[in-house]
Amino acid sequence: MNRFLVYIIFFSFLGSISLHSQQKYYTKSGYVTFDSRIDSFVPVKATNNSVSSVFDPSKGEIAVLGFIKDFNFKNSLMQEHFNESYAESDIYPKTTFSGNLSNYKSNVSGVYMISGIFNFHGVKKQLDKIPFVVEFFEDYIKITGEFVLNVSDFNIKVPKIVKSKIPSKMYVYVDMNLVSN
Amino acid sequence: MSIFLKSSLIFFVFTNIFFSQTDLLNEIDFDKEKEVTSVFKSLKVVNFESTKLISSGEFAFSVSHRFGSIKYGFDNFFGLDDAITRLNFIYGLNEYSNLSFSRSSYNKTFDVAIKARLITQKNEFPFTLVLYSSLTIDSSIDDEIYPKMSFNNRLGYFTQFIISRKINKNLSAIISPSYFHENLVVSNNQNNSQYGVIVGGRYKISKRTSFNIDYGHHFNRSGDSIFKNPLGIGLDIETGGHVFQLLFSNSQSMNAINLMSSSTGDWTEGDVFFGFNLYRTF
Repeated sequence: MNRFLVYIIFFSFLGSISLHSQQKYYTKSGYVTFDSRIDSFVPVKATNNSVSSVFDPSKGEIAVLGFIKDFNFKNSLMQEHFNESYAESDIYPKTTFSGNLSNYKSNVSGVYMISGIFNFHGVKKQLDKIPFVVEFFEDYIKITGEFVLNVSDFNIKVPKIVKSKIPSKMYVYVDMNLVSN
Repeated sequence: MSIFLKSSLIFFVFTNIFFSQTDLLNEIDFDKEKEVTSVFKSLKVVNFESTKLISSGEFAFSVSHRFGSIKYGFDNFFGLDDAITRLNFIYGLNEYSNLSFSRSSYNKTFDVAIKARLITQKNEFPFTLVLYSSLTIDSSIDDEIYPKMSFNNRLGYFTQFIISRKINKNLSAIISPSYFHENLVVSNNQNNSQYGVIVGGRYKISKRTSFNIDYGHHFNRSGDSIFKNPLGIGLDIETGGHVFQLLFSNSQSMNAINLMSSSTGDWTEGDVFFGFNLYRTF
């Protein structure tokens, strides 16, 4: 019984070291933009300045969360339509991403491939090997990158009358500075 | 390996697996208090103001028609031959208030109005409260008919609190206690200061269309008045930047004060007017 106790204590101690060896990094003001990049009278583009994210530097794991209602369009009518008819933000209020960096090396700045699950409008899509730049600074970690999404992948109902006005691709740009607690 | 070693190793492995990727997302997940949006698609329910405002710096234009009575049938092409028009220009002063200026061919009435949102319906608060106040100027009354009249007699004041609630994603309702004062009333027995309440609602029948209704109940209409309470029934159609409201009303006027005080039509006699409101936001 004595030996059991010793082993429990020893391995829990080891376990706790690995869990707390490196602090996680957080932000609540991440910048995410989606843009159709089509020149038109009223461009389809929105920005969210209050995206939350957590990055675990010991494992290279990341999670990102944004509220749909926090995406601001220049045209408020477009924002109303986006929330009410396309993104249906009353039913699906958040968009999230949960994934990890491949070939991750702690404290080494560079380009890493991020893979994980992106969630929007209730649809989960696997994203694979998106190149992101991860820069380690003294007080913060900067993560920037861009990827493309197909509007048709997310079960978005577009009525025929406006089909020509809704773009088929969205370019998502992410720029976040995360700090440790 | 001893059983003690094995079980403590398993224990060690467990404590590490437990913290998975989903837990990382759970760490930052939270719920925000939700403000309701899209309570009404248009600035009016049918005849009367809804709690919708246009956004800061935006500009909206509306054209409203009320045609002649449909009771004469084909003769006046169901009223289309006699059309009354109101043009309204609305500007978003800031996030919570709008200023509007309109001119209606009904009694050649000009009006300037302010609409301000005081409280928004949220998780904890069940209603949206909007204040609407307008000053109308009747430019049709003539000193040939009223020889002792002054400019003051042309004026009317209408103020109301519009209380709305988004009941569910398809149904929204309003109730608006209103006070209005006409500087000139047709009947000697009618008090210039008048009170009423408007009730109404909209029910979405598809993503972009809704069925709307509003009714104004006058509390101190004089006993000898020939006027009726206004009831409007309509269909809203939203397409991109425009909202069309097709409607039937027992009033040819499109300003709240005239609707409440001097509506001449009568639903019980089929004496109603077909009309529409059309909005465009810039």
